[in-house]
Amino acid sequence: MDNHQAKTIMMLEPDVLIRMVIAEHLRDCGYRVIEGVAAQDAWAVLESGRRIEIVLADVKLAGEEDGFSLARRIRQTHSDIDVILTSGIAGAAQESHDLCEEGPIKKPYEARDVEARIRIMLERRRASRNWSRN
Amino acid sequence: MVDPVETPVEDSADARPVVLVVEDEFSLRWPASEYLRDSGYRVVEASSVDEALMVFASHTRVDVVFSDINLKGDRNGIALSKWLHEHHPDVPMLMTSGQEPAAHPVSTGAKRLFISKPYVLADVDQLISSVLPRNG
Repeated sequence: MDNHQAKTIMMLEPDVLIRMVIAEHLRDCGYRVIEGVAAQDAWAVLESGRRIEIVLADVKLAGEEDGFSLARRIRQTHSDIDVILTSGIAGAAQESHDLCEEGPIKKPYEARDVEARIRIMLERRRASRNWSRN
Repeated sequence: MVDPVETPVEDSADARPVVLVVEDEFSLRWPASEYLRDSGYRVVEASSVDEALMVFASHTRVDVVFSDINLKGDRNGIALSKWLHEHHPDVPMLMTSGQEPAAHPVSTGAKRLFISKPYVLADVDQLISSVLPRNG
């Protein structure tokens, strides 16, 4: 699995729809993306010995440790990993867009398009009367 | 400038089948999702039944669901199977559990398959590919 040149991004985002869109966008740009919801997911990957170049984490995470604490601890223990903290949909879209600009595959996306795509999905979720029912 | 309303939410040119992986344990969801991506699928990851239902609510295309049965939260994989049967009867589902299948009544329909944990990922890939509708 490590025979790829692509950098690996550990993406931590507790909202499934934001995570899905941003992770897919980053994959389109040529990154390998590991998706997690809690800080402990990032620690599990690091403990496995798998190499991660970038951690892209929302400040709010599932579990007990928040993004701020995770960033602080990773910078202490893994100074070679680039930690990017995001807050909100626009921030996540902008950071993923900036990463894509530096990524191996150039995609003609604008940050606002990524943000718009997420907002459409969130609106559909709000509009749906079925998802929370049995 | 692109009108955001016209932003495509699906890449229609992407022919890869979409697998929705539903697993609450990261240590299982990560390798399964990565393996399936490397095998040529698009993979959407959900850590609960609620998240899986949100994916459907967002109108994301899903061709097959691979779900754990014993999930944390109010609803388990059996509930997801029933919901799917009601709302997306054409979407097949591969279910998994550490318990014997006899303990979990899995529908005998062609759209439901079961694999025991611990599973071999190549077997998961093969079962998923066997339930996908053939294209062309």
